Amino acid sequence: MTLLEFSRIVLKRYRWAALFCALLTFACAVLASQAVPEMWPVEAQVLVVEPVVVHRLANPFAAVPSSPDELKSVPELLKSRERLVSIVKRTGLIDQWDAGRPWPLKLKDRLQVAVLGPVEEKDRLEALVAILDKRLSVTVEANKVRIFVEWPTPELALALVENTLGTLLQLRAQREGKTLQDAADALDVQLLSVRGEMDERVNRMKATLLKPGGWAQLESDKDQLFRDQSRAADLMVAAEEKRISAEVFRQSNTLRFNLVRPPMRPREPSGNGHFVRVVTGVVASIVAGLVGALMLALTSRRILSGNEVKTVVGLPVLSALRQKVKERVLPTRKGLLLWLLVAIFTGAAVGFSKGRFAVSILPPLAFVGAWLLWTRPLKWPFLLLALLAVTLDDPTDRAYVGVWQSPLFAVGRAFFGNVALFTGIELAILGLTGLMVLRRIWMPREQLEKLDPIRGQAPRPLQLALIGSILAVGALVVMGMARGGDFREALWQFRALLMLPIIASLALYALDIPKDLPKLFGVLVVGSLVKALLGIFFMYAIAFPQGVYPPHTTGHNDTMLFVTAVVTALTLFWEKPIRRHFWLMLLWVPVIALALKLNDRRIAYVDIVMALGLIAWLSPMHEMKRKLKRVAVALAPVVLLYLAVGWNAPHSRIFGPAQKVRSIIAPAEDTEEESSNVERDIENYNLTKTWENNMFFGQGFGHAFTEYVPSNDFRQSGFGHVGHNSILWLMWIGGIFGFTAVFAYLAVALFFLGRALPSTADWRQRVALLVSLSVIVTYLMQAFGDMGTQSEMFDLFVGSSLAIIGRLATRVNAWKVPAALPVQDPEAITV
Amino acid sequence: MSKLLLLSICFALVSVPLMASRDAHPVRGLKRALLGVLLFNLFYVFLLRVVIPRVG
Repeated sequence: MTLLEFSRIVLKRYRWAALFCALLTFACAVLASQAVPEMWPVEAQVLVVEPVVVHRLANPFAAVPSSPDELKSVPELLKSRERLVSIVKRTGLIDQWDAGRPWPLKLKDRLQVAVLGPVEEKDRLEALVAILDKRLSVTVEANKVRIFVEWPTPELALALVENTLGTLLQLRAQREGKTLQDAADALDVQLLSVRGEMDERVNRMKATLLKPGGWAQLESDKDQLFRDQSRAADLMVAAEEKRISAEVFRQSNTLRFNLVRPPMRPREPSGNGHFVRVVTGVVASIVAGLVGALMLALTSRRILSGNEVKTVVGLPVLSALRQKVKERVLPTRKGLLLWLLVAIFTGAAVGFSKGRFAVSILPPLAFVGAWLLWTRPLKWPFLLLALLAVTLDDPTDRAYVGVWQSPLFAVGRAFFGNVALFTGIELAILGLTGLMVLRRIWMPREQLEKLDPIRGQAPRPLQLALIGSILAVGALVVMGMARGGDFREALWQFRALLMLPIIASLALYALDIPKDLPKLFGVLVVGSLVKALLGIFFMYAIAFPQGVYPPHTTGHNDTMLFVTAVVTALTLFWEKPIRRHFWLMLLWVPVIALALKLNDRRIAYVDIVMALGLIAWLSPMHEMKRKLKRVAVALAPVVLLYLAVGWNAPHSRIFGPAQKVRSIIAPAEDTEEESSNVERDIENYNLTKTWENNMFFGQGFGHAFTEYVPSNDFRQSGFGHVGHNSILWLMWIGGIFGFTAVFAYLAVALFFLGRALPSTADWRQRVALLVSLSVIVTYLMQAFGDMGTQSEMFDLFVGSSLAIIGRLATRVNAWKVPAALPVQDPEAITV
Repeated sequence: MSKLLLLSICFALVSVPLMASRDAHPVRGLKRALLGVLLFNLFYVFLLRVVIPRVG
């Protein structure tokens, strides 16, 4: 049965409810629109240009003043409290308090007066200043100042912008003219002082002239007098120049401001016109009516479709009889409540947003989304989240070095940017985790089993280690705060660390491994290719043609994505050398390799080598491993020779890889890599030196490490709040015990990986385990090299890997004691 | 050399649990893994305070 058919049945059965819901929505929309005043926008734009010709003619030897730096402070000055108070008073806003005020707010004012007495003028002024501060916008772009305001009456809006504009002209005239006059006055003071010295010297010379043997002193005074005279002349000229500049500035001030957009009385209020508002209201009401009916149907506990019969009984429906239902079905309380909420929220959204379509349609869609989230497996939103994380631009990671924005930038900004204490992705994760907890508490087990794979969860030690990590982070936050730490800084420090075990718990609960492995593989393929192609496009189509050579393409965090893609492609062929995997490797790896090269993260190569080395070490001896061993032994001398020759050949293209190896191990002097290594060494020294204060229990979150040795990277590390070497940084924060508690789940997961791998016969599951190992290694290396514990994308990769390891470990009974072995505590080892 | 010593904590965090997983008894193996990691972390303090400053 299609969704359309289902909707048809629902509409047929609940047509009156749908109609009433639509009407109620429309009524709410009308009511809400009355409660919000119309806003009238007025804008003015001023282009600030120095009258160069006037300056040159009036004062040819003085530099023409430059405005960009000074313009930066204009918004702050214009929106200072004193200025706002002055604008409010000059425009008479207090006397026109009621102008344009909607009737619900007027009613509220009357009630307030009746109950609490009349409002004092002082309080009204404060309220108006706060409102004006919010509604008046002053921005500067290059040499242009934009003043914009929205106010409930067009006349007042115009008056506000005109006043602000007047203040701008006055402000500049006062400030700059005064600065120049002050400079001239200071020069005059200096001139007076020099002249005083000259007079004293002349008097002394007169006295010396009559004394015998005073010729030497006379000669010296004469020289000094000439020098003073020359200095006095310079000072006089400089002071005169300043005075001329001040006068020129005063006279030419009006020439400097070109009003490119004068303020005009607005003809229409902000937002959509009446016709569009009505159409939006009607459309939103119809959608709300449909959703309201859907809510009633879904909560009616009645079977409406064949699909529901199949879900409940577990048998397919072979045929259906069309019969008119005569029985009156009364809605449930829950259904009625939801129906009412849909109407009220949608109506409010239409009214308050003045008919903005996207906002108006959001509430009914949110209800449908919430219903889908509650009734569908949790793996879908989790996988969607993972897909978004690996495809969207991350502005916090300086994607495309700020030179370009991909089409995915806007969503990426909302996703990775700060929303309310946490970022968008973190809030989504916390929301899903809340949903997971709610489902476990609320939903009957039989119903839950049909939705999420609650059987076959990870072995208990891994679950306990994840909880332990969350508790350890919490304890370190409390400890840090107790020692006077700053909570806002602490939040930046701990949130990604806290997210990892949360994501892992969510993935463990939601993902059905090995059934969902292809879906995770799909996310990796799509994400890595989208990012790689965008990165390549950026370099060859945007950056290089402009002569820009950026240090990276998509961002530091994509190292994890690219490394995992390369390792997955190679491991697939390693574990199952078939034609399909060969072609996959041949098509996938070169694209990712080019993206890796352009992204230019040296640590990525180290990650790949280490991961592949570990995979080769852990794999049992098979044909491929045997061949690789032989090739490695045969090529070892050639590679060593190549490295030895290429070690000191910095400009050779042939020895480029050898130079890359050198830049990682021991970079040549006076190179960028060497400078970066030195900065890291200094930071590591500062970290370890600070850590020495409390090596076992640490400092707690919310503090900064001490800069014993000055470092250029200190600003990059949030002035000591976040270390590039996250391992040493976490050791300083948590001490040895805190560090071990926070990362214990990695040790437990690797322990289970080691136990599960030999027992896993299926090559797909083996590949999944080996790639999970690679993800953990990359995470640790990135943590060691470049703030790896600060990325949510890393958290998603590691969390998914822990889910794979945990689920597969349970599947192969990795936590089960073999029957022949003595058991000390039988209860402790139940799966 | 000092860089390798600094990095040794990452190697230990990976290799100690993997080696402990070879124990036939899972509970004993897990205890060894966690204890091994903790002991290495304590040894790391010694490396940082005594060995690395001398190696340079």
